[in-house]
This record gives sequence, C-alpha cells and structure tokens, in this order.
Amino acid sequence: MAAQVQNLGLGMFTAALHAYASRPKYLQWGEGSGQGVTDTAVDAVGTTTEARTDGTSSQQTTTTTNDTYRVTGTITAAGSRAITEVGVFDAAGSGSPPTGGNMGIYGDFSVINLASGDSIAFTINVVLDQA
Amino acid sequence: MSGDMKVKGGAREMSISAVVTRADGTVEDLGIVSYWHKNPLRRLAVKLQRLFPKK
Repeated sequence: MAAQVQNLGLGMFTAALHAYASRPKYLQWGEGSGQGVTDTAVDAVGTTTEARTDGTSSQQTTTTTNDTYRVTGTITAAGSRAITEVGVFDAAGSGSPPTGGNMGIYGDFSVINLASGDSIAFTINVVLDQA
Repeated sequence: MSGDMKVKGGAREMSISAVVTRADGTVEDLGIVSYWHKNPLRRLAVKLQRLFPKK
C-alpha cells in the first residue's frame, strides 16, 4: 500500500503557497536567538527599528521540480546592529520596530555586525519532501 | 557554525544565505549562515563544509 505525495504534488504545494496572499514574505531581523516553533516574533528586536522588507517569493528546484519555496529580501541598517536572527512574516506590521502579523519562517545564526548603511540580502529556502 | 533552524511541517531542509553590502560598497558573501536538514549526517556535513571550506 502506498500513501505519498507525488513529485508533481510538491510543486503544487509550493505553487499554492506562492499564490497565497498571506504567504510569509516580509523579512524582519533581530538581535536574539532560539525562537521555538510556537513563537510569533523574532526574539529580540533591540535597537532594530527597521521596517520589514517586502521580500520576493518564488518557486525553485532543489532536488525535484518546484520543491522549494524561496523568499529573498534586503534590509538596510539604520544604525549599528548585531544581527543574529531573521523572521519571515505574512504582513508588514506596524510601529518601530514593527510588530503584528504571523511569523512563518525563522532562523538564527552567528552575529553579523553592521554599521549604519550596511545591508544584508537574505535568501531563505524551504525544501519540501515526501517524507 | 551558525545557529540552528527549527524545521517542522514536512520540510526536508531549510537554509538561510546572507550577502552583506557595506555602506562603502564592499560586498561580503557569507554563504549559508543557517541550515537544517532532516538527515543529521547531512547537517553535520554542511557544518563541516562551513568550518573547513575548500580553498
């Protein structure tokens, strides 16, 4: 007996996500780490008052055709920053630092130190699989 | 290496890459800064690749 998602099905799922109006595509960075799967915001916005970037989403191929959902976007520092995390949200949010919306993707990393005017271009890939 | 990503919900792997552009125009390609694969051996392989990059 088989119960599986077909290879073409992976492309269907990423296509549906890419077409979804409320898909996660707004990037916000922070200076914290360690958010769990139930958290709805980056850990520590600290002095990171920058607005969320309206990223670009797309379907990509990693192993199987269109098995990957990708979001790209660039955030520019308005002052000195020690960036250690990035979240991808379904809304631009409001305020400074921005709040609101739902965080759909999250990752933390070793610190990237920035001065005012420096920027980070993020590329975030989510690769789906049958198992 | 970089931090861990929390991956649930059927994803096989996730990655975050970063390219820093300094205010003076200098570009620093940091490559993959955060990575997760459901196969722990694959995670270890990527971690080792980042620790010992090919020259």
